[in-house]
Amino acid sequence: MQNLLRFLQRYSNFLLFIVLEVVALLLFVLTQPYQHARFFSAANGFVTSVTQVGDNIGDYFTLNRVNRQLAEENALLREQIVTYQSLMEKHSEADTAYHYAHLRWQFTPAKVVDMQTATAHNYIVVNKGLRDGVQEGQGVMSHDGVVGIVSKVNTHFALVVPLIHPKMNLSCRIMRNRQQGFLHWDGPNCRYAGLNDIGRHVEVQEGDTIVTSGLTDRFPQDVMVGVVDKVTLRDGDTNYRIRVRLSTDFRGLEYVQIIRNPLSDEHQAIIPKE
Amino acid sequence: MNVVKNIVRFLVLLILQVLLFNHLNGWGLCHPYIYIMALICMPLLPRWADMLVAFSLGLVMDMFCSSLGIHTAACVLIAYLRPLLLAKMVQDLDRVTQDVSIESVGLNQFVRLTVVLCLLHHAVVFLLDAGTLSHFWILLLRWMISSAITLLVILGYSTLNHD
Repeated sequence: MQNLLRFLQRYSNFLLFIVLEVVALLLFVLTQPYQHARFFSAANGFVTSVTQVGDNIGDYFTLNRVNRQLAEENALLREQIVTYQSLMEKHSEADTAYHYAHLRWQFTPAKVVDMQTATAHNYIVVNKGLRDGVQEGQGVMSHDGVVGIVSKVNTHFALVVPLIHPKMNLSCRIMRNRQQGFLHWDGPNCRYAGLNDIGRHVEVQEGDTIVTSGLTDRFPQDVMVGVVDKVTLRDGDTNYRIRVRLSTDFRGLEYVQIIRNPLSDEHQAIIPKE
Repeated sequence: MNVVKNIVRFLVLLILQVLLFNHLNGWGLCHPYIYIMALICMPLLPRWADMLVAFSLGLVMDMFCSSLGIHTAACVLIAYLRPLLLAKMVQDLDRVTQDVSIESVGLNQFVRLTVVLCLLHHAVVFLLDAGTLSHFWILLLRWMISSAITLLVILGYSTLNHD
């Protein structure tokens, strides 16, 4: 007993060190998968309010750029309205295709309030949540192109897993020849991702546009993803190694659109379950 | 008075870290954690108190970096090692009653202490965050660049303060 006490006294600092390290590592391990931990802290009130102060200050410095982008987008949208109005006049109101298209996609604008783009596990938090009709699995895009997919939602915030995350696989097409492949990110650089599953028989060129395939219920067809930056084909490869320059600049991302597909439930219901 | 000074220093470092240094990025390679200056320069408390302070500072940092446990582990490690390293470097440790600084421990010792603790802290943070060695060279580069910037800030500030 005496010896034990002496031992404890002698090594008390080291024991405390071990205990604290074990607690820290347990916290780290138990809160994996990391999304929960990230969400736990990234979306909790106090931390968000502090980062929001920084954000609000930062907002003033980017007003110029944001204004320009909004103006450009306005112009584009106006152009589209004109096109659609003329189309509507041409086709009768009873055209079912028109009503179907109208039913198909709805957009919720949201602002990015927290973001990590430099680690191996990137994430984005936006300021719309359950209250605004955001649900897990919905796609997210910006005016530049695809951003990611909503992975978790609470009342006021949503956590978005961006394209630049090793667990993301996005079904894409090469715009020119409609060939389908999967976009996957595993690099450190948040401007580039890889496009897999494009066989060597396909003709791919640098500069080809990559868009969403429309083969999921998350994104409309032909949303911009990026541009082919480098194509390599080694002897013996069955697939190309394609590097895509993403059209979304994640570091400059401020406003996004969350995509709601009212037909998503029906879409999912008809897929055979294993 | 000294307690207030240390708390203020930590708060200032925390704000700088969260609002400025966390956003540097630099192709994913530049992630300096300058807040560890608060731990390195803290006066020598009893060792258990040292570690508990580091534990709480790490936890606060983790909340802001959304990485539960990573900074806590790294901070506790450097708080455990700091008195051991100082005891090896400085003969009469009892004389260091105020902050650990260039004045109190000497330029040479302070630089050596800061370099070792900073490299260790950043190594733990980056390794835990990556969770794998599959991007070893990028990890190494990120570790070296980030540590260099942290050291530049801490040593630069300390030297200016000294003069």
